[in-house]
Amino acid sequence: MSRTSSDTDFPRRVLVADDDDEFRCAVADLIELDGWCVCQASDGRQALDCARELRPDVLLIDHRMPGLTGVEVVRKLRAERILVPVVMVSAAHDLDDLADAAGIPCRLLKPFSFDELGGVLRRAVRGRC
Amino acid sequence: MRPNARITNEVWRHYVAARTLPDDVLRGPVDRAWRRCDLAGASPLAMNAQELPPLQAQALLQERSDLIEASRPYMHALSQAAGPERHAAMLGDDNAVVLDVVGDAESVHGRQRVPGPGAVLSESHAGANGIGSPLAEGGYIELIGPEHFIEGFHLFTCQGVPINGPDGKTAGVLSTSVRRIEVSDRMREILYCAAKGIEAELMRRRLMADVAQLLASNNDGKLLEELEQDVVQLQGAARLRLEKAVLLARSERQDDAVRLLATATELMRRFQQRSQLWREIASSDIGPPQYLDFAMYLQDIAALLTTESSVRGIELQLHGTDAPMMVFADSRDLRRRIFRAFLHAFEGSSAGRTLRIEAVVNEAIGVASVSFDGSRETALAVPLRPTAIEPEGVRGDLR
Repeated sequence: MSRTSSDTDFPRRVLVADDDDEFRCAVADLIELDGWCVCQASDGRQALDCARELRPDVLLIDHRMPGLTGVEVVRKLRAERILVPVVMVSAAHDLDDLADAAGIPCRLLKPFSFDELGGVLRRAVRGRC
Repeated sequence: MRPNARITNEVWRHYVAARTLPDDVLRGPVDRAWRRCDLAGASPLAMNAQELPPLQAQALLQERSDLIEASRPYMHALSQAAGPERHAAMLGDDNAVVLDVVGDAESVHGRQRVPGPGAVLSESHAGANGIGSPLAEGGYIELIGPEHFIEGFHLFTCQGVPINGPDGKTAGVLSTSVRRIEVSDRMREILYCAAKGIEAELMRRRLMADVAQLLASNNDGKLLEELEQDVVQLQGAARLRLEKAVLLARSERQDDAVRLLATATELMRRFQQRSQLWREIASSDIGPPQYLDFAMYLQDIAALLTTESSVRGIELQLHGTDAPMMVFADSRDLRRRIFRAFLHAFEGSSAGRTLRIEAVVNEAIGVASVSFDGSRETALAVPLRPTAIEPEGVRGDLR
């Protein structure tokens, strides 16, 4: 997942929100290695607060989290006109239905590869999911 | 210790001439493999592997497509770890027939390519090699140059490790084939971790099939589906750790890579363990009662329900589970009873609460029991011995 020459706008800030520490840290470590600037949140409320404060370039968010679900976080941000590009991640078999219902075009089914992760983050930033 | 290539070559030439093997010269696993090949009548002068007829090979690839698909990301990871070196990552089935090969163009398609899909690499057909020998040996094996039994493979350094399916039986074998020993060294831990990754992926696919069945037939289906998603996180994290290790190995940070691979392997072990636990809870099978550690079973279920309790805003506090607590029960039935007792307790609890889970042994009445916030309503009791009878008033499980 190395950057292409067209990626001149790095470093980009990504907020990774997932309650599973192992998974969140694995994701954060990898994308940091690829040059992203990473912030982490371990539940829905923390994700909401971080997104409000940091205004990341992209929000990579799990759906099933304590506090607020990923979809609830996204809805609250939109209600506050914080229009950050979102990548919804989940191991849920109905991820597409969930994301469609919330109007989130970028989604990633767990487990995924480093290439898939990098690809969807870049597409999300460019609004091309 | 590295074998001496000159001496190994001499042993091979001697074998070709006299069909006898000296004792204590070849490395142990190689010596055993050569003796198996000798017994099976393999030819040391063969230049390549036999192949299945094309139609038979095609049917086999179709039949094993699940294993092939599950292995692809891990074979690519192995290929990436080799970098620009001549290499091939190979997948074989449980009969040592090659199913898939990923590598550089020369190794896969060139004049001196490795055997491709459909090639039969059992020791009796192809001598000691990175596909047939791990299966025959039942574990990891490495073959350097002339340690391969047949002459046609002397160019390669190969290593392989069996892959177990979700049922515990051998599903196939993962192998690498390179030209330089140093490259093989660099790939050893990645190979092992990748094999565990494939086993985890096969298990994940089994879980998905189980969930589909459950959703159609079981009231607990939705909850079990969510729990399966929690379990899958471990496999997802392990896979990303492996991918990072590959990047580190390629940038000569071998020590960091090895540490990360150990983490990934441990995550996959935990994934397999939780998957097995999940499957036992989801099934309706029963088995013979046996002595089991009740305390460990409680800890396992609490770990499985970590996310579920967290989503519900309930903190779990386990007491009395530090020491083993032997009870007499059927393993799967006990797991299901504990699982339901936890859920029952969750339903009686509310967000922001701490749920005190206390396990105790009562020798006087011959039971071990667990209670939730001291409530008799949700308590569960299990006999300590075969003769013990579950006493009245210490119930609450939903069986």
